[in-house]
Amino acid sequence: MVEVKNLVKNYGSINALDNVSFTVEKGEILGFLGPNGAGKSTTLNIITGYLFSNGGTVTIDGYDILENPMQARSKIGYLPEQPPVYSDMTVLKYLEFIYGLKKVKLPRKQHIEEVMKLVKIDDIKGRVIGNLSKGYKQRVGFAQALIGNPEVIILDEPTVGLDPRQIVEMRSVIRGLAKKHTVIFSSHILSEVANICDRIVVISEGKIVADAKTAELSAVTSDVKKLSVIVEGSSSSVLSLVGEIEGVTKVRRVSQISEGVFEYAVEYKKETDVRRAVFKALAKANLVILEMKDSGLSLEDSYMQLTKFAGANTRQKKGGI
Amino acid sequence: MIAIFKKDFSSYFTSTLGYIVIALYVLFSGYFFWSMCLVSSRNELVNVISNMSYVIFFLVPLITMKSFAEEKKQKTDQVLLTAPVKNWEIVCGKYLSAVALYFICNLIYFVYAMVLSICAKGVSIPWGQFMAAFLGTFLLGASLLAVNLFYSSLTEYQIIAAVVGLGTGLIVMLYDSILGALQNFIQTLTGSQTRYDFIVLDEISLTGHYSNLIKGVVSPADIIFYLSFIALFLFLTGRVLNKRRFE
Repeated sequence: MVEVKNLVKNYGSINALDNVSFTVEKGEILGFLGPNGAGKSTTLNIITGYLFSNGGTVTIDGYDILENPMQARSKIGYLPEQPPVYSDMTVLKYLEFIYGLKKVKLPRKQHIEEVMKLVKIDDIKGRVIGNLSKGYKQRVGFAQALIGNPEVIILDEPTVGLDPRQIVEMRSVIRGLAKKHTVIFSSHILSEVANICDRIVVISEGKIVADAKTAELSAVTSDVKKLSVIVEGSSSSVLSLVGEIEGVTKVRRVSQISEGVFEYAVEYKKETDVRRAVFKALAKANLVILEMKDSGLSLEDSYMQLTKFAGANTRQKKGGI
Repeated sequence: MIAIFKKDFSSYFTSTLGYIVIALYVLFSGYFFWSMCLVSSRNELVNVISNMSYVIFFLVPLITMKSFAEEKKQKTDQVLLTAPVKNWEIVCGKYLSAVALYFICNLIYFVYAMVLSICAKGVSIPWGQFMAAFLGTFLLGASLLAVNLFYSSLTEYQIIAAVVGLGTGLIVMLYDSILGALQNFIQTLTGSQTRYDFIVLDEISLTGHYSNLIKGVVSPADIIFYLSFIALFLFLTGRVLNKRRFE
């Protein structure tokens, strides 16, 4: 549905994007993840046609954003980082303007009502946007992206500035969109992306450093997995018993839960599964497992690993300043 | 295009800007009308219009200063530039809304003409000359609006667009006398007896073509001059929008 190929973008001597390529399938929710300044907004601005790249192509449902900009743009709904709302307009007037601007053919009144209901702003439609809170402005911006039922919806950090309840609501709306739309969703918050998206593309320093199904992302970066175990009993024997199991690379005590009960982190090679062995070894020694969960290698860990070279100096072009 | 026109035009009246511009226009033209026609009980309506050309130079930058600068500043241009609309639609929508506001200002002359024809017994309005002057003022203002719209597209600070617009207004106002001074200067420098002829520079004087219309002479050349002047600056504005995407 969206195909991004070898995008290059330079801001003066700064290489903002370096050969960025990925594709998004129809109906997929793609999480576009990266630390601040990694090139997320630049990429999204290029996909939507707001900026032109210095190289590479973007096609939306077969239409090139440069060669057939009208067809390509009419398939996209875009919520930029800062909601593009006019503070002197009322919510309804604004959405009517967007409806006209996008030359939408759907029944006007009904369609705008539907969109307002979906993002829950129908009760404030008469209010002037300038007087709304950040969360509501964000939702109005979101509604703007949905006007015209575009096939592709691109959201640039849509949950920034929202309170926790609004974030949860926003996520459920985004998840609901996936049934009918293709969604690209950028964020620098990992848990959020992991929560909503089918697939994650990680960008760092203007380069794609990972592109994988959410569940597989942690595996991409590391060959160890993690097990978290809470055991009642002597911790020295737990450490030695578990440490001897084949496949286990590292055991350490993480914290004390209560008197004589400790939590341990067990790292093991990803091709093995040591859970049975851990159970048997501890049971034999009469050490009681109160809890055991396979935490994989946490996404957080792999994310940190992928983006760890987030220094500013590596971005300069050769021969630049 | 229509959506952008409607949005910009109504925003003149949701912000106070539109009212201020109209109020200033009516205030100044009202003063000229009062002092030149009512007090002296003469029919100088065409001179009222021609005097207003000086006020236009200062009012026009106010109308367009926001047009693109504010969109860029508030990042609302993201919604315009990613919507399935062509650049010329954005430029024309914005331009026409500014022209519409300016046109509304100009309607006041018809009120003055009515007042004169009703109150001043025995005075007949030279409608032909009046219409020509009206057209001239409208085209002069519309041309300045195109230039100022272009300035607004170059910056994200409306104050800069306005100040540069005011400076341009002054230059346009003084253009003919600057040319005259230059001619004298060249004449003394070369010691020649004949005046140096700036063929092209003379022709592109906004006020020069205006004075023809004020005299009541409506020639296609003057109208085409203004229209092509407007078209040039609208085209340049469109180019600026396109160039911005490369930044």
